[in-house]
Amino acid sequence: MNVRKSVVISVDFSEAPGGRHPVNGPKSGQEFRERFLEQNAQSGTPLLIDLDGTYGYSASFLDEAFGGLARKFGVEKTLALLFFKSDERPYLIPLIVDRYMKGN
Amino acid sequence: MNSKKTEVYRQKKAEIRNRRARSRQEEKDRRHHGSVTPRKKLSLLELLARKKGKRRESIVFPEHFSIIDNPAESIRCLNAFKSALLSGTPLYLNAEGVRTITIDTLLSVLAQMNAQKTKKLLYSVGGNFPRSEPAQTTFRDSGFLDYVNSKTNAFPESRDIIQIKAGSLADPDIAKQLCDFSIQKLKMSKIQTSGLYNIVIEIIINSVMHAYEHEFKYNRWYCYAQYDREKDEIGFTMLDTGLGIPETVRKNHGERIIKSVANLARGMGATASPLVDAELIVSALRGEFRTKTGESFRGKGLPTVREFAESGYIENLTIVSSSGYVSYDPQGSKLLALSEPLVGTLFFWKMRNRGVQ
Repeated sequence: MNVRKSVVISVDFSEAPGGRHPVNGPKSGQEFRERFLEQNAQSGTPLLIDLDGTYGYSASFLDEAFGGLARKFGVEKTLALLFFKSDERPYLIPLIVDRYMKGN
Repeated sequence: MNSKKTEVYRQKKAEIRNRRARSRQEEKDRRHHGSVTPRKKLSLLELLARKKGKRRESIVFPEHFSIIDNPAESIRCLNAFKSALLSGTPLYLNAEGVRTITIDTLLSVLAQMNAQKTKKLLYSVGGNFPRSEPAQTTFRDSGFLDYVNSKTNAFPESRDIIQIKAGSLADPDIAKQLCDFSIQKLKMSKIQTSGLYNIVIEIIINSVMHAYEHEFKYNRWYCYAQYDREKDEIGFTMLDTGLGIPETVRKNHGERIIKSVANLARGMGATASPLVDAELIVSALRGEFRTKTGESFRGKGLPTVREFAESGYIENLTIVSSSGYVSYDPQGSKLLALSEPLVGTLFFWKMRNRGVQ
Protein backbone atom coordinates (compact mmCIF):
# COMPACT_ATOMS: atom_id res chain seq x y z
CA MET A 1 0.00 0.00 0.00
CA ASN A 2 1.24 3.48 -0.80
CA VAL A 3 1.41 5.42 2.45
CA ARG A 4 1.41 9.15 1.77
CA LYS A 5 0.94 10.49 5.25
CA SER A 6 3.48 10.15 8.01
CA VAL A 7 4.06 11.29 11.57
CA VAL A 8 7.55 11.64 13.03
CA ILE A 9 6.80 11.45 16.76
CA SER A 10 10.02 13.19 17.89
CA VAL A 11 9.38 16.14 15.56
CA ASP A 12 5.60 16.40 15.26
CA PHE A 13 4.73 15.50 18.86
CA SER A 14 7.62 15.36 21.35
CA GLU A 15 11.06 13.85 21.77
CA ALA A 16 10.00 13.06 25.35
CA PRO A 17 6.60 11.33 25.22
CA GLY A 18 4.83 11.03 28.57
CA GLY A 19 2.37 8.67 30.19
CA ARG A 20 -1.15 7.39 29.59
CA HIS A 21 -3.68 10.20 30.13
CA PRO A 22 -3.41 14.01 29.97
CA VAL A 23 -4.61 14.23 33.56
CA ASN A 24 -1.44 12.38 34.63
CA GLY A 25 0.90 14.77 32.79
CA PRO A 26 1.83 16.32 29.43
CA LYS A 27 2.47 14.56 26.10
CA SER A 28 0.40 11.52 26.95
CA GLY A 29 -0.51 8.54 24.78
CA GLN A 30 -4.15 9.60 24.76
CA GLU A 31 -3.19 13.08 23.50
CA PHE A 32 -1.09 11.56 20.72
CA ARG A 33 -3.88 9.16 19.69
CA GLU A 34 -6.50 11.92 19.58
CA ARG A 35 -4.28 14.39 17.72
CA PHE A 36 -2.66 12.12 15.17
CA LEU A 37 -4.31 8.72 14.92
CA GLU A 38 -8.05 8.87 15.36
CA GLN A 39 -8.88 11.15 12.42
CA ASN A 40 -6.93 8.86 10.10
CA ALA A 41 -8.59 5.79 11.47
CA GLN A 42 -12.01 7.36 10.93
CA SER A 43 -11.24 8.37 7.35
CA GLY A 44 -9.42 5.11 6.62
CA THR A 45 -6.18 6.86 5.61
CA PRO A 46 -3.00 4.79 5.98
CA LEU A 47 -0.38 6.37 8.22
CA LEU A 48 3.34 5.81 8.65
CA ILE A 49 4.59 6.32 12.21
CA ASP A 50 8.29 7.09 12.60
CA LEU A 51 9.37 6.06 16.10
CA ASP A 52 12.98 7.29 15.95
CA GLY A 53 14.52 10.29 17.67
CA THR A 54 12.76 10.14 21.04
CA TYR A 55 14.24 9.46 24.47
CA GLY A 56 12.03 6.40 24.76
CA TYR A 57 8.45 5.27 25.17
CA SER A 58 6.75 4.23 28.36
CA ALA A 59 4.55 1.14 28.23
CA SER A 60 1.61 3.32 29.24
CA PHE A 61 2.17 5.70 26.32
CA LEU A 62 2.41 2.90 23.75
CA ASP A 63 -0.58 1.09 25.16
CA GLU A 64 -2.84 4.13 25.31
CA ALA A 65 -1.82 5.45 21.88
CA PHE A 66 -1.77 2.28 19.77
CA GLY A 67 -3.57 -0.22 21.99
CA GLY A 68 -6.21 2.41 22.67
CA LEU A 69 -6.73 2.91 18.93
CA ALA A 70 -7.06 -0.85 18.40
CA ARG A 71 -9.60 -1.11 21.21
CA LYS A 72 -11.61 1.76 19.73
CA PHE A 73 -11.52 0.90 16.02
CA GLY A 74 -10.78 -2.81 16.08
CA VAL A 75 -7.47 -4.65 15.80
CA GLU A 76 -7.84 -5.66 12.14
CA LYS A 77 -8.72 -2.19 10.88
CA THR A 78 -6.01 -0.51 12.90
CA LEU A 79 -3.33 -2.97 11.79
CA ALA A 80 -4.31 -2.37 8.16
CA LEU A 81 -3.92 1.40 8.52
CA LEU A 82 -0.84 1.84 10.70
CA PHE A 83 2.71 1.30 9.48
CA PHE A 84 5.76 1.68 11.66
CA LYS A 85 9.37 2.64 11.05
CA SER A 86 12.24 2.44 13.54
CA ASP A 87 15.90 2.19 12.61
CA GLU A 88 17.10 2.96 16.13
CA ARG A 89 14.92 0.49 18.03
CA PRO A 90 13.43 -2.02 15.57
CA TYR A 91 12.30 -4.28 18.46
CA LEU A 92 9.64 -1.69 19.22
CA ILE A 93 7.54 -2.60 16.15
CA PRO A 94 6.65 -6.20 17.07
CA LEU A 95 6.23 -5.05 20.67
CA ILE A 96 3.64 -2.43 19.68
CA VAL A 97 1.80 -4.79 17.34
CA ASP A 98 1.79 -7.91 19.49
CA ARG A 99 1.72 -6.66 23.06
CA TYR A 100 -0.25 -3.46 22.80
CA MET A 101 -2.42 -3.70 19.67
CA LYS A 102 -3.19 -7.42 19.69
CA GLY A 103 -3.02 -7.57 23.49
CA ASN A 104 -0.87 -10.74 23.55
CA MET B 1 -7.35 77.55 63.11
CA ASN B 2 -3.90 76.07 62.98
CA SER B 3 -3.17 76.79 66.64
CA LYS B 4 -6.46 75.05 67.60
CA LYS B 5 -5.39 71.90 65.71
CA THR B 6 -1.97 71.97 67.34
CA GLU B 7 -3.59 72.27 70.76
CA VAL B 8 -5.79 69.18 70.13
CA TYR B 9 -2.75 67.27 68.92
CA ARG B 10 -0.78 68.21 72.05
CA GLN B 11 -3.63 67.12 74.29
CA LYS B 12 -3.88 63.73 72.60
CA LYS B 13 -0.14 63.14 72.87
CA ALA B 14 -0.21 64.03 76.55
CA GLU B 15 -3.08 61.57 77.10
CA ILE B 16 -1.14 58.77 75.47
CA ARG B 17 1.96 59.62 77.50
CA ASN B 18 -0.01 59.58 80.74
CA ARG B 19 -1.70 56.27 79.88
CA ARG B 20 1.68 54.64 79.22
CA ALA B 21 3.15 56.01 82.43
CA ARG B 22 0.14 54.71 84.43
CA SER B 23 0.50 51.29 82.82
CA ARG B 24 4.24 51.17 83.62
CA GLN B 25 3.61 52.16 87.23
CA GLU B 26 0.88 49.52 87.62
CA GLU B 27 3.17 46.83 86.28
CA LYS B 28 5.96 47.95 88.65
CA ASP B 29 3.55 47.72 91.58
CA ARG B 30 2.35 44.26 90.61
CA ARG B 31 5.93 42.99 90.24
CA HIS B 32 6.80 44.44 93.59
CA HIS B 33 3.99 42.38 95.10
CA GLY B 34 5.16 39.29 93.23
CA SER B 35 2.00 38.78 91.16
CA VAL B 36 3.61 38.86 87.74
CA THR B 37 6.67 37.04 86.44
CA PRO B 38 8.68 38.83 83.79
CA ARG B 39 7.69 37.88 80.26
CA LYS B 40 9.98 35.38 78.54
CA LYS B 41 10.30 35.50 74.79
CA LEU B 42 9.17 32.13 73.39
CA SER B 43 10.39 30.50 70.22
CA LEU B 44 7.87 29.51 67.56
CA LEU B 45 8.32 25.87 68.54
CA GLU B 46 7.61 26.64 72.20
CA LEU B 47 4.61 28.77 71.31
CA LEU B 48 3.20 25.93 69.23
CA ALA B 49 3.93 23.45 71.99
CA ARG B 50 2.21 25.70 74.55
CA LYS B 51 -0.77 26.14 72.22
CA LYS B 52 -1.14 22.44 71.77
CA GLY B 53 -0.33 21.72 75.38
CA LYS B 54 2.39 19.38 74.22
CA ARG B 55 6.13 19.30 74.72
CA ARG B 56 8.53 19.08 71.85
CA GLU B 57 9.23 15.48 70.92
CA SER B 58 12.65 14.38 69.82
CA ILE B 59 13.02 11.81 67.05
CA VAL B 60 16.49 10.29 67.08
CA PHE B 61 17.70 9.08 63.70
CA PRO B 62 19.53 5.74 63.80
CA GLU B 63 23.28 5.51 63.27
CA HIS B 64 22.81 3.86 59.89
CA PHE B 65 19.85 5.71 58.47
CA SER B 66 19.00 3.87 55.27
CA ILE B 67 15.83 2.16 54.08
CA ILE B 68 17.85 0.10 51.61
CA ASP B 69 20.60 -1.04 53.98
CA ASN B 70 18.94 -0.89 57.38
CA PRO B 71 15.21 -1.13 56.62
CA ALA B 72 13.73 -2.24 59.94
CA GLU B 73 15.31 0.41 62.15
CA SER B 74 15.02 3.21 59.59
CA ILE B 75 11.35 2.56 58.77
CA ARG B 76 10.53 2.34 62.49
CA CYS B 77 12.09 5.78 62.94
CA LEU B 78 10.29 7.20 59.87
CA ASN B 79 6.96 5.84 61.11
CA ALA B 80 7.53 7.37 64.55
CA PHE B 81 8.18 10.66 62.77
CA LYS B 82 4.97 10.26 60.76
CA SER B 83 2.87 9.50 63.87
CA ALA B 84 4.30 12.46 65.75
CA LEU B 85 3.65 14.73 62.76
CA LEU B 86 0.04 13.57 62.55
CA SER B 87 -0.48 14.22 66.26
CA GLY B 88 0.62 17.83 65.78
CA THR B 89 3.46 17.51 68.29
CA PRO B 90 6.33 19.91 67.63
CA LEU B 91 9.30 17.81 66.61
CA TYR B 92 13.03 17.93 66.83
CA LEU B 93 14.87 15.64 64.41
CA ASN B 94 18.06 14.63 66.10
CA ALA B 95 20.49 13.49 63.42
CA GLU B 96 23.61 14.09 65.49
CA GLY B 97 24.52 10.41 65.82
CA VAL B 98 23.97 9.49 62.17
CA ARG B 99 27.14 8.07 60.65
CA THR B 100 25.84 6.80 57.32
CA ILE B 101 22.77 7.96 55.48
CA THR B 102 21.17 7.22 52.13
CA ILE B 103 18.90 9.61 50.28
CA ASP B 104 15.86 7.34 50.53
CA THR B 105 15.36 8.34 54.19
CA LEU B 106 15.62 12.05 53.42
CA LEU B 107 13.09 11.63 50.60
CA SER B 108 10.75 9.90 53.04
CA VAL B 109 11.11 12.68 55.63
CA LEU B 110 10.35 15.28 52.94
CA ALA B 111 7.42 13.27 51.66
CA GLN B 112 5.87 13.09 55.14
CA MET B 113 6.24 16.82 55.70
CA ASN B 114 4.84 17.66 52.27
CA ALA B 115 1.89 15.37 52.89
CA GLN B 116 1.09 17.35 56.04
CA LYS B 117 1.45 20.61 54.13
CA THR B 118 -0.88 19.41 51.38
CA LYS B 119 -3.45 18.36 53.95
CA LYS B 120 -3.12 21.89 55.37
CA LEU B 121 -2.22 20.51 58.80
CA LEU B 122 -0.02 22.56 61.05
CA TYR B 123 3.36 21.11 61.93
CA SER B 124 6.60 22.30 63.36
CA VAL B 125 9.86 20.50 62.80
CA GLY B 126 13.33 21.51 63.84
CA GLY B 127 16.53 19.54 63.83
CA ASN B 128 20.28 19.31 63.71
CA PHE B 129 22.91 17.90 61.38
CA PRO B 130 24.93 14.71 61.77
CA ARG B 131 28.33 15.16 63.36
CA SER B 132 29.79 12.75 60.84
CA GLU B 133 31.11 14.77 57.93
CA PRO B 134 30.11 12.42 55.08
CA ALA B 135 26.57 12.18 56.47
CA GLN B 136 26.38 15.94 56.85
CA THR B 137 27.60 16.39 53.28
CA THR B 138 24.81 14.11 52.09
CA PHE B 139 22.28 16.35 53.86
CA ARG B 140 23.69 19.49 52.28
CA ASP B 141 24.56 18.06 48.85
CA SER B 142 21.23 16.38 48.24
CA GLY B 143 19.11 19.51 47.93
CA PHE B 144 17.11 18.45 51.02
CA LEU B 145 17.65 21.86 52.63
CA ASP B 146 16.01 23.61 49.68
CA TYR B 147 12.73 21.97 50.70
CA VAL B 148 12.85 23.03 54.35
CA ASN B 149 13.40 26.40 56.01
CA SER B 150 16.99 26.10 57.05
CA LYS B 151 19.48 28.71 58.19
CA THR B 152 22.21 26.52 56.76
CA ASN B 153 22.72 26.91 53.07
CA ALA B 154 22.46 23.89 50.84
CA PHE B 155 25.40 23.21 48.58
CA PRO B 156 24.72 24.17 44.97
CA GLU B 157 23.96 21.31 42.61
CA SER B 158 27.22 19.56 41.92
CA ARG B 159 28.15 18.16 38.54
CA ASP B 160 27.84 14.62 39.87
CA ILE B 161 24.41 14.93 41.42
CA ILE B 162 20.86 15.51 40.28
CA GLN B 163 19.50 17.04 43.47
CA ILE B 164 16.13 16.01 44.87
CA LYS B 165 13.30 16.67 42.44
CA ALA B 166 9.64 16.30 43.28
CA GLY B 167 6.39 16.51 41.40
CA SER B 168 2.80 15.38 41.21
CA LEU B 169 2.52 14.83 37.45
CA ALA B 170 4.03 12.30 35.07
CA ASP B 171 6.58 14.81 33.85
CA PRO B 172 8.62 13.61 30.84
CA ASP B 173 11.15 16.38 31.47
CA ILE B 174 12.50 14.74 34.63
CA ALA B 175 12.99 11.45 32.78
CA LYS B 176 14.73 13.38 30.00
CA GLN B 177 16.98 15.10 32.55
CA LEU B 178 18.01 11.77 34.12
CA CYS B 179 18.78 10.35 30.65
CA ASP B 180 20.89 13.37 29.71
CA PHE B 181 22.77 12.99 33.01
CA SER B 182 23.47 9.31 32.22
CA ILE B 183 24.48 10.11 28.63
CA GLN B 184 26.94 12.70 29.92
CA LYS B 185 28.39 10.75 32.87
CA LEU B 186 28.40 7.19 31.56
CA LYS B 187 29.04 8.06 27.89
CA MET B 188 25.90 6.28 26.81
CA SER B 189 23.84 6.94 23.70
CA LYS B 190 20.27 8.17 23.67
CA ILE B 191 19.17 4.74 22.44
CA GLN B 192 20.97 3.01 25.33
CA THR B 193 19.19 5.15 27.90
CA SER B 194 15.71 4.56 26.49
CA GLY B 195 15.12 1.78 29.05
CA LEU B 196 15.91 4.24 31.82
CA TYR B 197 13.51 6.75 30.30
CA ASN B 198 10.74 4.16 30.18
CA ILE B 199 11.05 3.03 33.78
CA VAL B 200 11.30 6.54 35.20
CA ILE B 201 8.07 7.47 33.40
CA GLU B 202 6.38 4.23 34.56
CA ILE B 203 7.37 4.73 38.20
CA ILE B 204 6.11 8.30 38.12
CA ILE B 205 2.86 7.27 36.40
CA ASN B 206 2.26 4.58 39.02
CA SER B 207 2.59 7.13 41.79
CA VAL B 208 0.39 9.68 40.01
CA MET B 209 -2.34 7.19 39.15
CA HIS B 210 -2.52 5.69 42.59
CA ALA B 211 -2.86 9.16 44.05
CA TYR B 212 -6.45 9.19 42.86
CA GLU B 213 -7.17 6.15 44.98
CA HIS B 214 -5.69 7.84 48.01
CA GLU B 215 -7.80 9.37 50.73
CA PHE B 216 -6.02 12.70 50.65
CA LYS B 217 -4.78 12.70 47.06
CA TYR B 218 -1.49 14.13 48.21
CA ASN B 219 0.75 11.78 46.34
CA ARG B 220 3.99 13.11 44.98
CA TRP B 221 7.06 11.48 43.56
CA TYR B 222 10.63 12.27 44.60
CA CYS B 223 13.82 11.38 42.79
CA TYR B 224 17.55 11.76 43.12
CA ALA B 225 20.58 10.55 41.17
CA GLN B 226 24.24 10.48 42.06
CA TYR B 227 27.25 9.59 39.94
CA ASP B 228 30.02 7.60 41.62
CA ARG B 229 33.29 8.49 39.89
CA GLU B 230 35.27 5.60 41.38
CA LYS B 231 32.81 2.93 40.28
CA ASP B 232 31.68 4.79 37.15
CA GLU B 233 28.04 4.16 37.96
CA ILE B 234 24.94 6.15 38.81
CA GLY B 235 22.64 5.38 41.74
CA PHE B 236 19.00 6.30 41.22
CA THR B 237 16.49 6.66 44.06
CA MET B 238 12.77 7.23 43.48
CA LEU B 239 10.04 7.37 46.09
CA ASP B 240 6.32 7.91 45.98
CA THR B 241 3.93 8.26 48.87
CA GLY B 242 0.98 6.38 47.39
CA LEU B 243 -0.70 3.34 48.82
CA GLY B 244 2.14 1.03 47.82
CA ILE B 245 2.26 -1.85 45.35
CA PRO B 246 0.89 -4.58 47.68
CA GLU B 247 -2.14 -2.40 48.47
CA THR B 248 -2.93 -1.44 44.89
CA VAL B 249 -2.53 -4.76 43.08
CA ARG B 250 -5.48 -7.06 42.84
CA LYS B 251 -5.14 -9.87 45.36
CA ASN B 252 -6.62 -13.30 45.15
CA HIS B 253 -8.82 -14.63 47.92
CA GLY B 254 -6.03 -16.46 49.79
CA GLU B 255 -3.71 -13.47 49.67
CA ARG B 256 -6.45 -11.18 50.95
CA ILE B 257 -6.96 -13.44 53.96
CA ILE B 258 -3.21 -13.74 54.68
CA LYS B 259 -2.79 -9.98 54.36
CA SER B 260 -5.75 -9.23 56.65
CA VAL B 261 -4.43 -11.64 59.27
CA ALA B 262 -0.95 -10.12 58.99
CA ASN B 263 -2.36 -6.58 59.41
CA LEU B 264 -4.42 -7.71 62.39
CA ALA B 265 -1.42 -9.42 63.99
CA ARG B 266 0.66 -6.31 63.45
CA GLY B 267 -2.06 -4.22 65.05
CA MET B 268 -1.84 -6.51 68.08
CA GLY B 269 1.90 -6.01 68.35
CA ALA B 270 3.31 -8.85 66.25
CA THR B 271 6.64 -7.87 64.77
CA ALA B 272 6.97 -10.48 62.04
CA SER B 273 4.65 -10.76 59.06
CA PRO B 274 4.50 -13.27 56.24
CA LEU B 275 6.25 -12.57 52.97
CA VAL B 276 2.99 -11.79 51.22
CA ASP B 277 3.83 -8.14 50.43
CA ALA B 278 7.22 -9.00 48.94
CA GLU B 279 5.62 -11.81 46.93
CA LEU B 280 2.96 -9.44 45.63
CA ILE B 281 5.68 -7.05 44.46
CA VAL B 282 7.48 -9.88 42.62
CA SER B 283 4.20 -11.01 41.10
CA ALA B 284 3.46 -7.47 39.87
CA LEU B 285 7.00 -7.31 38.39
CA ARG B 286 6.34 -10.55 36.54
CA GLY B 287 3.23 -9.00 35.00
CA GLU B 288 0.82 -11.53 36.40
CA PHE B 289 -2.68 -10.19 36.00
CA ARG B 290 -2.58 -7.87 38.97
CA THR B 291 -4.03 -4.54 37.95
CA LYS B 292 -6.70 -3.32 40.32
CA THR B 293 -8.69 -1.73 37.48
CA GLY B 294 -9.36 -5.24 36.18
CA GLU B 295 -8.50 -4.09 32.65
CA SER B 296 -6.18 -6.60 31.02
CA PHE B 297 -4.28 -3.92 29.10
CA ARG B 298 -3.20 -2.21 32.34
CA GLY B 299 -0.46 -3.25 34.72
CA LYS B 300 2.38 -3.25 32.17
CA GLY B 301 4.46 -0.63 33.98
CA LEU B 302 6.14 -2.82 36.59
CA PRO B 303 7.01 -5.58 34.05
CA THR B 304 8.85 -2.82 32.13
CA VAL B 305 10.91 -2.20 35.26
CA ARG B 306 11.71 -5.93 35.51
CA GLU B 307 12.60 -6.14 31.80
CA PHE B 308 15.03 -3.27 32.21
CA ALA B 309 16.56 -4.97 35.26
CA GLU B 310 17.09 -8.08 33.12
CA SER B 311 18.54 -6.10 30.20
CA GLY B 312 21.97 -6.00 31.84
CA TYR B 313 22.11 -2.23 32.23
CA ILE B 314 21.09 -2.00 35.84
CA GLU B 315 21.89 -3.87 39.00
CA ASN B 316 20.89 -3.79 42.65
CA LEU B 317 17.25 -3.11 41.79
CA THR B 318 15.59 -2.86 45.18
CA ILE B 319 11.91 -2.19 45.75
CA VAL B 320 10.45 -1.50 49.17
CA SER B 321 6.71 -1.08 49.42
CA SER B 322 4.45 -1.46 52.42
CA SER B 323 5.92 -4.43 54.36
CA GLY B 324 7.63 -5.95 51.34
CA TYR B 325 11.35 -5.69 50.56
CA VAL B 326 12.58 -7.11 47.26
CA SER B 327 16.17 -7.10 46.09
CA TYR B 328 15.52 -8.23 42.54
CA ASP B 329 17.75 -10.77 40.86
CA PRO B 330 16.60 -12.75 37.80
CA GLN B 331 18.42 -15.79 39.26
CA GLY B 332 16.61 -15.52 42.58
CA SER B 333 15.45 -12.41 44.38
CA LYS B 334 15.98 -11.73 48.04
CA LEU B 335 12.63 -11.17 49.75
CA LEU B 336 12.08 -9.76 53.22
CA ALA B 337 9.00 -9.16 55.33
CA LEU B 338 9.38 -5.92 57.24
CA SER B 339 7.98 -5.60 60.73
CA GLU B 340 6.70 -2.09 59.98
CA PRO B 341 5.36 -0.90 56.63
CA LEU B 342 6.92 1.89 54.61
CA VAL B 343 4.53 4.59 53.47
CA GLY B 344 4.60 4.41 49.67
CA THR B 345 7.08 2.73 47.38
CA LEU B 346 10.82 3.10 47.09
CA PHE B 347 12.84 2.13 44.01
CA PHE B 348 16.61 2.05 44.00
CA TRP B 349 18.96 0.85 41.28
CA LYS B 350 22.45 1.39 39.92
CA MET B 351 23.31 1.81 36.27
CA ARG B 352 26.57 1.34 34.37
CA ASN B 353 27.52 1.55 30.72
CA ARG B 354 28.05 -2.09 29.86
CA GLY B 355 27.99 -1.47 26.15
CA VAL B 356 24.66 -3.26 25.79
CA GLN B 357 22.58 -2.08 22.84
